[in-house]
Amino acid sequence: MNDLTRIEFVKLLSQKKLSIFFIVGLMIEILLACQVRTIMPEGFRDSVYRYYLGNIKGKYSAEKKQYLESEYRRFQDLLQNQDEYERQYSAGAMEGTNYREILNEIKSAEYRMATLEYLMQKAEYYENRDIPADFFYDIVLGDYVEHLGTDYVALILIFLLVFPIYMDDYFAGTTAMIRSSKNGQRKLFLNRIQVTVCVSAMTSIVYSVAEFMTKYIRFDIGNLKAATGSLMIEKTAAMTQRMICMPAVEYISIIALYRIVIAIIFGMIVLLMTRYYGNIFNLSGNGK
Amino acid sequence: MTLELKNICKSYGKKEVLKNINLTFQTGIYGLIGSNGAGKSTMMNIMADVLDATSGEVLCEGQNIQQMGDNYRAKIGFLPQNVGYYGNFTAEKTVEYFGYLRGVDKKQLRERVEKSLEVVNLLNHAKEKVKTFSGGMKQRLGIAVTYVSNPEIMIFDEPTVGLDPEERERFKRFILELGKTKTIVLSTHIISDVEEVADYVIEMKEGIAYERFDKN
Repeated sequence: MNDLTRIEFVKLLSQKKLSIFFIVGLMIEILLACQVRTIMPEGFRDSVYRYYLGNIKGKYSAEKKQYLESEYRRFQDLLQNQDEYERQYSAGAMEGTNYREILNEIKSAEYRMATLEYLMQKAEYYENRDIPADFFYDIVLGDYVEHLGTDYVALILIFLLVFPIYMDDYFAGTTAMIRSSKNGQRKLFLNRIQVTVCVSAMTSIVYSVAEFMTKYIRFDIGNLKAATGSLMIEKTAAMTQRMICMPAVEYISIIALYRIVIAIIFGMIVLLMTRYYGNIFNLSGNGK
Repeated sequence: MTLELKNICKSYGKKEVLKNINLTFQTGIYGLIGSNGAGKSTMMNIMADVLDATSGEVLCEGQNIQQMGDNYRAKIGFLPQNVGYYGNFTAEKTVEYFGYLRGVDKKQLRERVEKSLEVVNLLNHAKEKVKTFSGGMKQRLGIAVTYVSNPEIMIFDEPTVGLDPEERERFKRFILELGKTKTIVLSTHIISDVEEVADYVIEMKEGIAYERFDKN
């Protein structure tokens, strides 16, 4: 980094308001990362989901699907025979301990069945798509991957950070003095490109890391090595075979790279526009 | 150092601001006078390679300044009218920043910054933020910024605006000293400022330049 680039950094970062924008933006990013937006089916219970996933954890197999179906049928039978169990207990044909156990299961049957239905849908999904998939606790990871894309909070911040690089000259009234300097035109522009690229890339990286870390620390993010095909979400349904078979962590990294590229392109657009309009405003449209 | 304006015209739309200006500047002090809107600032901006002329060319030692680019701008120091600064910079940082922009060698920069602040009597305020400065102090800071690279050609647009009488005298002495070895062009609407220091006086009137006075 040459001296001019360094002093441009100092000039930009010495503005307190930009530090405040950065921190506020980061807080918004973290708050958004604390949300899980996926809506689960009615009656779904997270604890039941975790319980069954504990039993079928790992690679999908037809046996695991059968197990889920048998569990579902068991609860169906319990509900259907509820009157019969009551009659047997009243007639003394069933012991009290057994009856109470059955009653407890009947009480939880509704939400167990709703959760099992969701798991069965998932098993069906894996079977129909014929892709390597894992059963694991995937609610948070699924939600994260589903909403992973352009980071608009970071882009707003990049706009706020890059905008003053040229516009500060205009607002301060230094444009003419800068442009009459030896390094005030082409060289300064190249230095400011460096500053923009660094600021945009760093913002994107910091915000993506903050988002990931928030998810990781606050929630059970599940198995990051599992293929994205394991996530039954709209996004994976639209993915190509190669991407479906990609580990989730790899997919997250690719999106992070995509975000960096978008951030740099966006930062450059803001820089070019402010340079153009800053000169026009300041120099009365001389066309230089 | 010879700076030559050849057939310079500048228009904004249909409005002609400069009409076929032909002037030659050599070592010495040139005073540019004229009422507001006469075209003084536009001409200085063109000489400083900040504005493009609509037609004509500016030559430095016979070379077109636009073709010279960075090499030409390395030779000049320009203080525009209504200059501003970054409020959160100190005076020292401001001069240092423009020192970098003007291509001052890093090894000499510290010394040049101190020297520049000293000639405008701001060395004691070097560590103070520019936003705390009065109008006159800001104007003096502008002169320091213009001087930091010790350029061969110095162009000052209304440099004495906001200066108190003492500082104005100090500036005149500074200009007289510089004028012995450099090409100095300064515009003002205060005729007495020009009379005391200028070797040559050019009057601008409705975009036309008239050479009025030659001390020699």
